[in-house]
Amino acid sequence: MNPYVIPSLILVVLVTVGIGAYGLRFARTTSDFLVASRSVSPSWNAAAISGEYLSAASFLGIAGLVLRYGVDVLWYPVGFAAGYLALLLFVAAPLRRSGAFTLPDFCQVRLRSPLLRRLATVFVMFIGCLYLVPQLQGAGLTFTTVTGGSYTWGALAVGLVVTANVALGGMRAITFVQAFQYWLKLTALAVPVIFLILQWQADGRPAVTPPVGATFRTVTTVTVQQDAVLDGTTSVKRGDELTFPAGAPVPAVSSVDAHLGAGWLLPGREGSLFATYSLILATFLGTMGLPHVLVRFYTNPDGASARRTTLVVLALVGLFYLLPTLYGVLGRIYTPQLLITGRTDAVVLLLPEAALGGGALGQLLGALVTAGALAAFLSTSSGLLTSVAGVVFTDVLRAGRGGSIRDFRVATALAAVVPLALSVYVANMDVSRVVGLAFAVAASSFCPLLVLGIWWRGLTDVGAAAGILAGGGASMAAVLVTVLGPPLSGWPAQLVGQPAAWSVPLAFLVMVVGSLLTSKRVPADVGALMLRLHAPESLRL
Amino acid sequence: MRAQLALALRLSLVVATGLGALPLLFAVAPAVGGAQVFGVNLPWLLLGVASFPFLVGVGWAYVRWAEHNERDFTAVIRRPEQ
Repeated sequence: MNPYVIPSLILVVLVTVGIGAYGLRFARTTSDFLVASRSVSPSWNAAAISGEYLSAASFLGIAGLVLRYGVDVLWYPVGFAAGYLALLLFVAAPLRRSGAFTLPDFCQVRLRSPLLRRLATVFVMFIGCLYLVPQLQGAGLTFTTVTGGSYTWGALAVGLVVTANVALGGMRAITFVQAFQYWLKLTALAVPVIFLILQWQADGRPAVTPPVGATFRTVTTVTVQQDAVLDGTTSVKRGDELTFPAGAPVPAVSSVDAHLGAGWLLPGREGSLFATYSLILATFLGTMGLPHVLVRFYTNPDGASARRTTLVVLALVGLFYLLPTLYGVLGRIYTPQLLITGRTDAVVLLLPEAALGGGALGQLLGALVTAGALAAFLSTSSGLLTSVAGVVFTDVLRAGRGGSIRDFRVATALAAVVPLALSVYVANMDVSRVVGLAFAVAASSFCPLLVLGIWWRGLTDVGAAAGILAGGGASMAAVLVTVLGPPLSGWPAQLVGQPAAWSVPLAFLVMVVGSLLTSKRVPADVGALMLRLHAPESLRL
Repeated sequence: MRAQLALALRLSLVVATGLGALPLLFAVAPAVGGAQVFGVNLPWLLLGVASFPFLVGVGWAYVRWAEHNERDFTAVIRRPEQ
């Protein structure tokens, strides 16, 4: 085992807790805890938003998917980044000017409906859980891959650190922690990739897709993870050890879905055109509906700075997403054994040692990417937990804004229990896919609510509730069927596996038609509200 | 408000046609998907590298024009008072 990994992990946790404790000195009132008194500077805030956003799915999952499926999955990073453009164009400044704390707050401010507020609370908690569980699972998986220790302990340890940090420091501390973790994550991918590319040059630039398909560069011994059939002929059992000579082609494994031939380079192999467009729609529009992304915007001092912050975030996130693709591509050359075990999510963690050898340099860089992965779990789950705890605090415990800090700590513990338990008990869910489903639910519930609420005077509470129930409910059902239900095939599988292409238009349609039918319920003060959302601050209305 | 919405919709149309047409293009004309630039397949360059500066560029243009709109609006409102 790599001797540098444990010290670097301990260092990351200590620095995280340390910055959290430092932030505690500033946290005085409950308002401080929830939105950091809205006085965080734009550059800090942008780094914090990016740090919070780049989750296990971004840090590990994208490279793993690229290793398996090739160019088609590049829509994931493009969509994750483009989501911030949609947020910037349609939501950022007006949402900040609305003065709401959370998504349920926005429902209250815009439509004055307690019922809609409760509905939004349910969806915030569902999306929060859906997004939090794979983060903790990714943490457990990383722990198993790197240390050989138990999955449960990895997931529990990250869960406890996050819960303690959120409960003790609140959001102010979290802002500093998140900003630190963005730069850590960027460094952890950017520095090793330089050495990896130099090594690739030194090896005589081995081809990414040799004519015979993916091959082993060196003698490799692989432990099979599941009972499977190799190349359609040889049966292997879980735990079998297979040894491949250098230059041998990677066999097709029946239990692992992957593209082995040269078709990996070409688009249109993975899923249909429908699935691709559905994914694009979910990621473009889903970002604005993620609770932990929105809560950050209330920490900007005004609407114009919310816009500028979002632009910086777009640049920071885009910069980061240049890197995972390179790991996936190089993984094709240096870690083809992952195509047999199916643990492709581990490619980022294993690549430095696989490519640079087991020497000190490879081990140090391996420890660096592992520290970055830990930062990814810590930051995203902290942000999610803060926003879910904020909603539990204001809407479930009904503490209101006068509530005490102790109540917020209780809310944090409550919000952490369910995802922690789920992450331990639910079996292997695919990290990136589940995150994609969370985006689909967000895109078909909160995105129509925000866009229509901000830009259309005619929205009513009944129409909004109907739209959220129709679009969000349908996509939620699709998620539950995908995760818990039987395997599907053909068109039903496409429609259920990538629901956004039909559930988002459905949500918009139901919301508009429902609002038109109940147009008498348009709030009387909608004109004044719209002025507040859209008037520039310089007017000082 | 109308000007801001029109601006946002126009720019989202730019992105929708710029990026949204790509899967269709790759499906209709597979030759484009196989084309190589600097020894790298074109779809990898377009999606993996070029799309991010494109998105940031559109975002930058939006912030510029949105602030311009707001300054104009403020100027119109303020003028009668003087």
